[in-house]
Order: sequence, then structure tokens, then C-alpha cells
Amino acid sequence: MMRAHTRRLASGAEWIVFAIAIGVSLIFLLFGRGMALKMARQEWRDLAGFCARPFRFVPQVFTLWRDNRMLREQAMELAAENSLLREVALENERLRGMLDFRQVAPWALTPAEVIGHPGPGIGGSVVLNIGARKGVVVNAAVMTPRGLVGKVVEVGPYTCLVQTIQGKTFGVSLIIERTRVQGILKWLEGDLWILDGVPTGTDVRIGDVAMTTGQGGVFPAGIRTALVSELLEESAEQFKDVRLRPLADLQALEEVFVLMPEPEEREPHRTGSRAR
Amino acid sequence: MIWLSRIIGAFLLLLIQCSLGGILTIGGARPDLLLPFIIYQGLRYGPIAGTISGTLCGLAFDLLETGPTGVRMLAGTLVGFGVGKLWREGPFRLHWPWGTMLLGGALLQQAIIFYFRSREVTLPFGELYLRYGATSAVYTTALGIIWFLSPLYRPR
Repeated sequence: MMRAHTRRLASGAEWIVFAIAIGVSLIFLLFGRGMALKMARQEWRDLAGFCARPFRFVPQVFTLWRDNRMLREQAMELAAENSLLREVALENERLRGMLDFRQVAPWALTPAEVIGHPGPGIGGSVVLNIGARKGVVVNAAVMTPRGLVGKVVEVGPYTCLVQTIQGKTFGVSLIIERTRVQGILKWLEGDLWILDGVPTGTDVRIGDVAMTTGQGGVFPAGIRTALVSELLEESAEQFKDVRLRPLADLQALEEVFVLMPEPEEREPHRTGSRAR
Repeated sequence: MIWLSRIIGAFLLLLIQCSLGGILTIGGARPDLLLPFIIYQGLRYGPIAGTISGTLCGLAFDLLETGPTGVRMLAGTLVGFGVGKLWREGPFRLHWPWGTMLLGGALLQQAIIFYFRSREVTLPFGELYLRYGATSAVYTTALGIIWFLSPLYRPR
């Protein structure tokens, strides 16, 4: 009896509290637009904002993480773009140099791109993207604006194979530009070339430029080829040991010129031929 | 003393809600961290505690928002009282009472909030409620379940 009475009282209290809370809520809903409430809101916001300061580091960490990721992505994109632009600038510089060289060179030159290095190492032989259809013939000289590269040894319709001066079977007659001393350029190994047959006592100095003599009929005279890099002169020997470094960078060939023959020398569409 | 700890707990939840609300928002759904607290009060301590918690938490939230004051207060009051009353005197017993109460309470709360919001912005209530209200209610339920499954929750 007593327990039932207490339960009824408790239930009544619950409903009273509920009714008061609903009443207050409705009063706020209906009349909660006064100036006093606005000020109370402002004060409450200030207090909550102040107290929420310690929690703000969490969204800041997220923001920093997101910004960091975005900036990293941008940095990657910019680095790739920068690399591309550098590549384009270098290519532009090379092509400008080739254009200038082609305009001043006394020979008929056709530009070509290196599309392969079929030999065992880079530099020994290269494949160019032009062939007989463009008038390329066997034994045509190949060069860059800096110097002689080699000669065409095999011609297809659309490509040709070039033997560079970096080969045991390759020999070319050179003349020292300054003193007109002659010798035969031969490759020994690696970066080592010699000018064979230069007598001791002749005037050859480090830094002298050697160019083709025109003898042999393959290369025209006057193609700059190599630079004297070292002199090993033994008084007892008959010939000087003249070491040279090629002017063309054989390890990084990209664009070259093929020296085109005079019209009467050209044999139209002689494809698949090999150098003798 | 127990009321002081409840006030401090609710205030901390309110601060977390204000600070991390942006991070927790997914699409248009934003959870209400105070609702599990109100439901817990109703389930644990009865309808009076649920009613008072709902009213005060709703008022505190209302004062921070730009909408009309009293909306969340009314919703909190109804949810707090309803949960406490149903759980104590309801003619049924549920297997996971807090889960059902949480989802039901969240859906009711969002319905009240979006009813008043749709009147303010003159947009259809159904569309607003389904797009933002119901999703927020499910989100709130999912977060609230973490609390009820934690060892901190002590059933009555």
C-alpha cells in the first residue's frame, strides 16, 4: 500500500518535471528572440569558445596533415613539370646549336635522331631514324655540331646503322689544325684514342684540335674530330704517343647530322647494303 | 556531487561537439554527441534525470546554434523523458534496449530539428529529413553504440 503510494507520487513528479521542461522549451521556442537571449547566447558562445581551445589542436592536426599531403602532391607535380621543362630547354638548346651549325656548315646535312644503341655498350654503334628514303648512303659521315661521330655502315629504307669512331676497325686520317701534323685516329679502349704515326719532334700540344684530312674519300676535309688530351713523348721512340678525346659526346648522342653525298654520288634507294 | 559530474561530462561533450564537429561530419551527416548522454541518463537514472539532462543539454546546444532557441531543448526533453519512461514502465523488454532507444531517440530528435529547420528555409521536410536528419541519426547511433559497448557503461 505504502509502496504503491510512493510509486504514484514518483510518477506524478516525473510528469510534473516533464511538463515544466516542455513548457520552458515552448516558451523559448515562441518568445526566444529577445535582446536578453541574444546577449546570453553571445556570452555562452564566448565561454564555450574559450573552454574549447584545448580541443582545437585536433582539427588543426587534421588541417596540417591535409595541407601537408596536398603540398607534397603539388611538390611532386611541380618537380615532374620542372624536369620536363629542363628537358625541353636542353633539347631546345641542342636543336638551336644544330640549326646554327647546319646553316654555317659547308656540307649538305640532314638531321637525324638516334633511336638505338645495338652494340654491347653505349657509343660503339647507333641506329638513326633516317635511311635510304631520305638519301642516306653507306659511308656517309655522321657528326654533331661539336665533332665527328662516325660513318654509316648499313642502310635500310627508314633507318641506318652508324659505326662510331669508338671501334677497333675504325680509322680516320686526322690533321692537327694548328700545325698541320697528320696521323691516324685509332680507338684503343674506353675513353682512350691515339693519333697514330705522329713522328717525335713534331709540334703537337695538349689542347690542339684534330680534324679530318679528307684523304680516303669517306670523310670530307675539315670535320673537327678530337682534342689532344695527353702527350707521352719518349725520346727513344720514333713516334709520339698522342692521346685524344673526341669532341662529340659519344655516350650521350641524341641528335646528329648525316652528311649527304653530292647528287652524282647518290645511288637512289640502295637499301640493305653494307659497307665494304 | 553526482549532478556536478554529469554537468561537467555534458559540458565536455558539448565542447568536443563544437571543436570536432567539422571533422566528424561525413557528407551532410553530423553526429550529436550529447544525445547518447541524454539517453544514458534516461536509461540509468530514470525519466526525471533524462528530462532534465535533455532540457539542459538541448538549451546549451541551442544557445550555440543560429537556429531558433528551444528546438533541441524540446527534442532533448522528449527523448530523455521518453527513454526513461519507456524503459521503466514500458510493457516490453528489448534485447538491446540502448541500441533501439538510441536509434529511436536520434530519429525523433532529428525529426523535430528538421521540422523547424524546414519551416525556416521553406524546403520540404521529407527531403531534408531523409538526406540529413536520418543519416545524422544513424551516425549518432553508430557513435553512441561505442559508448554503450564500452566498460564505462553500467546498466541499471
